[in-house]
Amino acid sequence: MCSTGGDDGETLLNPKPPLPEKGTLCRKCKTSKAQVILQIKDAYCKECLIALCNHKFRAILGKSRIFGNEQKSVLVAFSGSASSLALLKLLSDAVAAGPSHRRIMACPKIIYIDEGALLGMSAEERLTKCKEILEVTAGFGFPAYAVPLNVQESSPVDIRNYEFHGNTDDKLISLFESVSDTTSKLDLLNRLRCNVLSSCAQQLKSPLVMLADNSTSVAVKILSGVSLGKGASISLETGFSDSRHSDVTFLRPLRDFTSKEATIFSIFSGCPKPVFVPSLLTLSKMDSSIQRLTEAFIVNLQNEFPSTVSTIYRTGEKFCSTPSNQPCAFCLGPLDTMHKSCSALEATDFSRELSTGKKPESSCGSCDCKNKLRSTLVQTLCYSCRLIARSVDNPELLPSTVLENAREAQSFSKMKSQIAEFLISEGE
Amino acid sequence: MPVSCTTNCGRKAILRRPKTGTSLCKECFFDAFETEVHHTITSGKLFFPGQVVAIGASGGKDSTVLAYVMKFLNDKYDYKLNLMLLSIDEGITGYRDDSLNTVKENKNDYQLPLKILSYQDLYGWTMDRVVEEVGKKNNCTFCGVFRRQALERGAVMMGASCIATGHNADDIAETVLMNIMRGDVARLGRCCAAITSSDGALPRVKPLKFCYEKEIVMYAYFRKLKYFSTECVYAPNAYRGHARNFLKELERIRPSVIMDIIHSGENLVFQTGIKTPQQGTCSSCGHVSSQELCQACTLLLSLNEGKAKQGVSKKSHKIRST
Repeated sequence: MCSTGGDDGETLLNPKPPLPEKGTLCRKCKTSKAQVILQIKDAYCKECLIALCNHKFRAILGKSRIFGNEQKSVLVAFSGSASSLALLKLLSDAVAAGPSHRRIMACPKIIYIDEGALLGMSAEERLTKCKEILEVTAGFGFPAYAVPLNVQESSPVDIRNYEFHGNTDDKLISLFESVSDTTSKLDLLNRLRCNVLSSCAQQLKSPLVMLADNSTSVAVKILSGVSLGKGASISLETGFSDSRHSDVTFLRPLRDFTSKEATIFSIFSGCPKPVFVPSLLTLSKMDSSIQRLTEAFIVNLQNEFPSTVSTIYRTGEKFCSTPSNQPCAFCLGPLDTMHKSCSALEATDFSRELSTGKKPESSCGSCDCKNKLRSTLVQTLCYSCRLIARSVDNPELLPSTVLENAREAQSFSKMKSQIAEFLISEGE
Repeated sequence: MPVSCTTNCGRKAILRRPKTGTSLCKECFFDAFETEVHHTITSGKLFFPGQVVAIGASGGKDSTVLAYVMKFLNDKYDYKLNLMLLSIDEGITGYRDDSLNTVKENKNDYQLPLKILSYQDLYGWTMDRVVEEVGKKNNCTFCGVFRRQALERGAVMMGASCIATGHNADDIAETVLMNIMRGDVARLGRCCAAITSSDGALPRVKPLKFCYEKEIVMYAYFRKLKYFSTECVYAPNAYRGHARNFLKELERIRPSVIMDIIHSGENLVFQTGIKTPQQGTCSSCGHVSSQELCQACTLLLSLNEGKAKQGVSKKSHKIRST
C-alpha cells in the first residue's frame, strides 16, 4: 500500500508557537519580571523557579515514600555536569531543616567515577579533574569519594587521597579494545558504571544511589534503549527507582526536570560552575553510535517540536517490568530470551541457521575455548547484553562477577534439566 | 577473490544478507527468504486451510513480493488457501493509475483474481479532489483512514476472512519508534503482532513482518519481479518521515537494529490500569471504531460540509452527525 502506511498521521506533532514577549511577568507570582521561559510559554522569575524546582524535588521523593523517619545514607553519583550540581543543591536544601518544610531524612555522600583511563588521559590530568570536582562539591559539606572505573571490584576512597593503579586500568583498556563497535562500548560502559556504583554503595553502606538523569537524557535512553533491544528492562533503566541490584536501589529524582530546567536552577541557585569531564561520547561523530545518533535526533526534533521530550518520557512512564526469577547474568534485568514462536528473536535465529547451515551459538565441542565460553555466557544473558557479548572479541576480559553469575546460572539450569521430569509446577 | 556461499553449497555468493551478515548464492537466498516467510506463517499460525485471503496489492515492491511468495508457498506447501488480490484506487493521477497497471500484470502473471475499489465509488471523493480541498499538508490522514476502511469493505465483498498486507520488518520497527515518539501506548502494544484482529473487523496478517526491506528489494530484483517504485505525488507524512529517516541512519550504524527494535516492542510490558480506547462500532457505517463516529465517517463528514481543514485537528472528534 501507500508508503506512508495506514493508521498514522491522525495526531501531528505540534510545531513551535511564538515565544512570550520581553517584559512578561512571572506566571506564578505575577509581580516580578520573568527571567526564564520553560516549556515553550511558561515564564518564571528567579525566586519562583527555585521554589518550583525545590517543590518538585520534594514532591517526587515524598511520593515515593523512600525516606521515612530514620536517617538513610544516599550515594550521589556526581559527574560534574550542571544536572549533578542541581541534584546536589536540591538534595542539600531538602536535608537542611526549613521552617516550612519537613526535612528529608537523607545523609548524602558524593561519588565521582574516574574514567580517565578509557580516554588515555595522563595521571596529572586525571588528578586535576578530581581536584576540580572536590572544589565544586566542597561547599555542600558532604563527604566526597572517588573511584576508578574498573572491570573488577574496586573500593571508593576519599577524593582528597585518590590514586589509581596501572594494572587495573590495563584490564579495563584491553576489555574496551576488544569490543568492535562504539555502540557496544558505550552500552558496556553504562553497565560497568552501574556495577561500580552498586559495589561502592555497598561498601559505603548506602542503600540508595541517586543519579542526575533529567527528562532529556531519560528520553534519549528510552529511544536508544529500544534500538538496543532493551524493551524488557527499559522501565528499570529510565524509571524513578531501579532495584535490580539486591542491596542497592538506584533513584532518578531529576527525571521530571528538563535539562534546561536543571541547568537554569543550578545557575539561579548559585551553584559553582560545572566541571567539564570528557567521556567516550564527547566529540564522537554523530553516526559513530546509536546513543549519539539518538541524542542528536531528539535534541533536533525538540528544537522544532517542543513536546518531543515530554511525550517520549511520558510514554516511558507507562512501561513496567516483570520480575524474573532468573535474571540476566550481566545487567540483572529480566531474561527476555525465551524462544516464543513467531518472535523477532526466533526469526533471527532461524535466519542465521538457514544462512550458515548450523545452529546459532551451538557449542563448538572442544575446538575453541573462547567460543565455548561465549556460548555458555550468551545463554545466561538478556537480549541486549547478548549484543554486547557478541561484539567482545575475548569474553574472558568481562568482569569476573558476570562470568561467575553465568557459570552459576548454567549449572542451575543443568540441575533443573536433570530433575525436570519430577517437577510439578513450571514456574520454579 | 570470489566469496563462497556460507551454506557450503559450493556455489559462489552473490549477495550479503543485511539481516544476518552472511553471504549467499542466488539459489540459497531464494530458499532462505521463502523458507523464512513459510516459517513465519506456520509458527505464527497466520492462516488455516480453506481460508479466503485478500492480498492488499498496491503494485509496490512489498505487495508484489507478497503476492508472488504467497502464491509460491501456497503451491509448494499446499496451504489450501484461496488467494485473491485487492487493490484500492485512491484516485491519484500520475501515481495510482500507473501502479494499478502493475497490479493488473501481476493478476495475469500469477493467475489470481483481482478486485479494484475506488475512493470515488466508496466515498464520492478522489484523493486529487481531497487535496484540492485540504491542501497537501494533511491529506495523508484522509488517505490512510479511507484506505484502512476501503480494504476492509473490499475484502468483505470478496468473501475473504482475512487481509494479508505487505508490511515488512522496517515498517514495523518504524511504527514502534513512531508510537513511542507520539505516546500512543495502545498502538505500541499491538503494532508488533503478526495478526492484528479486533472484534468485528477482519484480521490483518503480515507474513513479511520479519523480512528486511532491503531483502525484499533483493528478492524482487533477482526474481525479476516487476513492481512500481514511484513515490506518491503528494507530500509524504512529515511525522512518519522523521521516524523513517532516523531508522535508516540507525540501520547504517548497526544493521541488526531493525530486529532489535521489534524485539524491544514485543517485550515491552505496560502498567495495568492505563486507559486505552474501547473499541465499538461506528454509529453511521457500522465499522469498527473507538469513537461513536469512526474516523473515516468523521473525515468524510467534514469534507462534505466543507470543513475539511478542521477535520484533521483533534476537534474532529467532537463533530457528530446530526
